[in-house]
Amino acid sequence: MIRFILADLRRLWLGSLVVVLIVALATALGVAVTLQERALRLGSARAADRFDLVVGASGSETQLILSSVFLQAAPLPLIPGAVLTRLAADPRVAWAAPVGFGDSSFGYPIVGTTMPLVLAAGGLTEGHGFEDHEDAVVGSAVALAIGAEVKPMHGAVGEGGHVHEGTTYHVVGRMPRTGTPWDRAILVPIEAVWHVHGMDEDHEDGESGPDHDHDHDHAGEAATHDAGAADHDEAQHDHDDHHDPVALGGPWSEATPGVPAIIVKPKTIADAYRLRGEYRTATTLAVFPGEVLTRLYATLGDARSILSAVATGAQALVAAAVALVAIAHVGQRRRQIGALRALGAPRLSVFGIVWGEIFTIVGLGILLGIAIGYGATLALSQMLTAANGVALPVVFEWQDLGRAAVLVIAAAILSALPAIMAYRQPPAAALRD
Amino acid sequence: MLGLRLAEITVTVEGLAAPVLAIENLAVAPGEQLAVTGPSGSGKSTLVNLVTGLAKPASGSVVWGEADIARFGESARDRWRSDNVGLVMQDFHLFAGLSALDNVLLPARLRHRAGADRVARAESLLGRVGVGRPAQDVATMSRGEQQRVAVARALLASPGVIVADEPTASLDRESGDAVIGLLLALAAEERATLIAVSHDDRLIARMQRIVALRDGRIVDDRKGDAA
Repeated sequence: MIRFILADLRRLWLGSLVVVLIVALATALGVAVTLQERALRLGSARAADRFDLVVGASGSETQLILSSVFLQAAPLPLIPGAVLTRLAADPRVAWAAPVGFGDSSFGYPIVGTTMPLVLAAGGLTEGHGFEDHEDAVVGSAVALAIGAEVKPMHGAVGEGGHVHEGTTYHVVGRMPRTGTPWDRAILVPIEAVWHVHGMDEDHEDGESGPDHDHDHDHAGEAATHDAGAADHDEAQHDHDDHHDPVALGGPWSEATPGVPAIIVKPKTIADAYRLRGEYRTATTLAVFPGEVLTRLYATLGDARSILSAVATGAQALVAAAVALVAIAHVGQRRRQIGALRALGAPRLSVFGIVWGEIFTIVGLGILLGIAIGYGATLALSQMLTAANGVALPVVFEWQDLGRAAVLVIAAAILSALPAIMAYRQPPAAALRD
Repeated sequence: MLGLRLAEITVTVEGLAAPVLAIENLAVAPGEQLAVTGPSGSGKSTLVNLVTGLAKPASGSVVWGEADIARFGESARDRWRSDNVGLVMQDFHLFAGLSALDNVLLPARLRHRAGADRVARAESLLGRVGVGRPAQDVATMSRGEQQRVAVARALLASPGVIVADEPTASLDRESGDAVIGLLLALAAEERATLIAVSHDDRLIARMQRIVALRDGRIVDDRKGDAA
């Protein structure tokens, strides 16, 4: 019987191949939707893992997390430097690191921060940390060697901008791979960012200036810069000591300039909750990245549900088409099927041959589809990782086995329809003209 | 070797007032070689379906040896046919993509009865019908060769009766002669009753008995030249 099925499939290889491919594509669609959504979810959760609490000025929680954890630059309102000073001194806080954005270089975002964050994000595999205003530490995916020069370009990656004159960073250290967008970041001392944007120890009111006469005023520009520019003339201090290494990473004062976000490492979980409560005020926002991601996942889950429904619909259509083709095919071959019976084949053998043949084709399609779906997700995830640094783990879970089983069972039932037709067909058909 | 007795047979088709086959009595002796002739629509195919158990009569009995196969259910008739009937059909019904040997063995394999002795018998039958390359795909064989493979297949289970339905109708003259010779010789060698439905005078002329049908009835029943 198996030999007969194989001979038949070999003879009808082109048609069989087409059906296998159609089934494979429909299956791959469903597999890819499931795997990709899971990859995005796991990848973003892992990227957010190392950030316990993020404090920002009141505004969008989602934007705060996207900007600070995922380095998706967007104009964020600033929190006064005094908040950073207070957090850094808080006994419940292990460390509090500012993050400031706004510039980029070679297509990599430049992030101003302090060494505790660099160390918490994985330390250094090469070189040393910030010792000077012009020192830069790069993520593992940044294609710059130790010693390379980095000229900051104003504006986020992909936006128009101009080079900040007079400032050049030197790469002095490299961080290990973390599978997060920080792999693609150039980290510099926050003080340098302030300086580049003319904010050194400026007094900040924590809000972006809505309108001002500044030649950097183009759309999408990072808030750090605007805010700095708005109050530029009100500088209370005239510092020329940017190159004083002692100033790097604090201690901060009431005069510390504003920052878009502060990453806080609380000492205990209880501290984390307490700090989160305390910094949820009219002017500041404190969020666990996890809670924001959970909300995002709900949206992502909705999108997945829709895509899954589309994929299921496509699978149902393909199933119907395959069933039709199979039934038409059995109809065309009624004489041959009759001949099998006439020659003495039991009815169950006839059922088995037709069922086995269709199930083989559809089953191969499902297997191939799972492979294609996995491959496509892997390729897409690698492209996404290359673009924004988030490592996207493409993994199968146990529940996928159930989903595959449902498909296989559906294929088995589907194959039974034409097989039943063949089973019921009178054998005398073989001899009729 | 099986003898046949048909009694009080009527086969009707929905929508037709007259039965497509009505035979009061027809007996075929074990080992007899019988030709069934008649114009198309005379009921020849219906008769073949009845005597092979492919179809059931509306009434009457179809007794082979001791068994009235008209009383059997569908699966029992399939089993009986597989054990007792060797069928040779007008368009061979070989399965392309399978070798000659696999084609001969296919019905036995589908019944899980293709032991080593069956395989050996299949090979010797193929030799007997003059198919020299048993491993050759039947799709690449001439029509004459194909029908000879079909004859070998019909004989594999040592059936008590060989039923041939227009075995030469789709063959050229030379191949047809070869198949006629093989059918007659093998039926005798294997001690099987032979029933051949045919228009072919060369086949009819070599049979022991000729039954002519018209409009579903036997209109002539005579001894043949070979009797």
